[in-house]
Amino acid sequence: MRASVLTLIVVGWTLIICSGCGSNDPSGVPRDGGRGPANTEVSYAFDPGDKRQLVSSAENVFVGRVVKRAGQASLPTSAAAVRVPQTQVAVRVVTNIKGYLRGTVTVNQYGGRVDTVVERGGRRRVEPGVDLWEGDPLLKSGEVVLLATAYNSARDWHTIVAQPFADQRIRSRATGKRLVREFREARRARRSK
Amino acid sequence: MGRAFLCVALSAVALCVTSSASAPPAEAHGLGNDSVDCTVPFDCEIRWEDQTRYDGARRFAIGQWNRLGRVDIVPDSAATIADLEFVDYKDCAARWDAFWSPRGASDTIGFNPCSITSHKYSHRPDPNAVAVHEVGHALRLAHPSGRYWQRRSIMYACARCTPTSTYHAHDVNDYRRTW
Repeated sequence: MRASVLTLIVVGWTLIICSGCGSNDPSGVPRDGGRGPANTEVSYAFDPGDKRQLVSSAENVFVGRVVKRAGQASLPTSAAAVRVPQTQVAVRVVTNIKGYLRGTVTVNQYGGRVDTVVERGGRRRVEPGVDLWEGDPLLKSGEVVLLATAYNSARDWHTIVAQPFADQRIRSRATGKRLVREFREARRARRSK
Repeated sequence: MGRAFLCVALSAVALCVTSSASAPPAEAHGLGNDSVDCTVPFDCEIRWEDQTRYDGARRFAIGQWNRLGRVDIVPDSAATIADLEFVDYKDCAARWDAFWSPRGASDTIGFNPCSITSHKYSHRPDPNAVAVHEVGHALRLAHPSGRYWQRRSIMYACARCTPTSTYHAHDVNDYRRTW
């Protein structure tokens, strides 16, 4: 009886270990980028957790409604093989908090479709994937967003200054009112400083 | 026989508790990804190649993390595949100093020449701090949330806003829990 109990315990432990419960592999997350979005991590030039700095670093702060996807750019870096994906959307300006934008403007969001080279079994192949900056989902048509942006004159688009702090989705009237009030106060506080 | 099953079940619970105890606790800040290549356990490295003009910052950051000793961050060679590439990407409308991006075969650390040395922000530029921060991401360290961490972690979302150019005790703890 004692022997069978011991056998069962040994078998149980083996099953548990094989099932991965005890796995602590530090690189266990798939690195192929083809399964789910890749998450780019950013270090900002200002403190994005401080709304006053957020407003101060932006040229425009406004509420707008995303009209449609307007483009996708994958721009070159100092290394030939490395590009930085960005996605553009057309946004109709609803309310200005800082600046004087009118009509529909193009907003640039870091992140977007990226083709990833995957190595499996010694073979290289390209898999499509999505790169998100700080996990910030790509803007979608119909969304109402509070945006803090800086203007890129070469491309005539307004780049979001700190994702996800500077592109906050507004899903209810109460949220919209609160966000507009907070960002207006942050602007006033910065001006009076 | 019932006692035997009870023993197995209790063993399972004990093992899972042991296993989760060795994982980072709630206050640790770990990413779900990294640039580290572990061929066998406890033999981990990052092979890097360089296409950036910020060699001083890159050298400083690698030197700092290599002092902790558990992951060797070494240059790529003809016989190895790079895990990490340092590049520059200039965008003067962007307000970021640098990024780390997991990109399949080789991950990327990108520096923004337009902001990384810019004095137009509240905090003075600190390319060394920024490079230490980004290599920290390559080592699986994540941003801690909340402004509490601004003075306590190089992994705060604004590296130049932190008081030193290198890691703090909390970052070292996160590193040691991970590697």
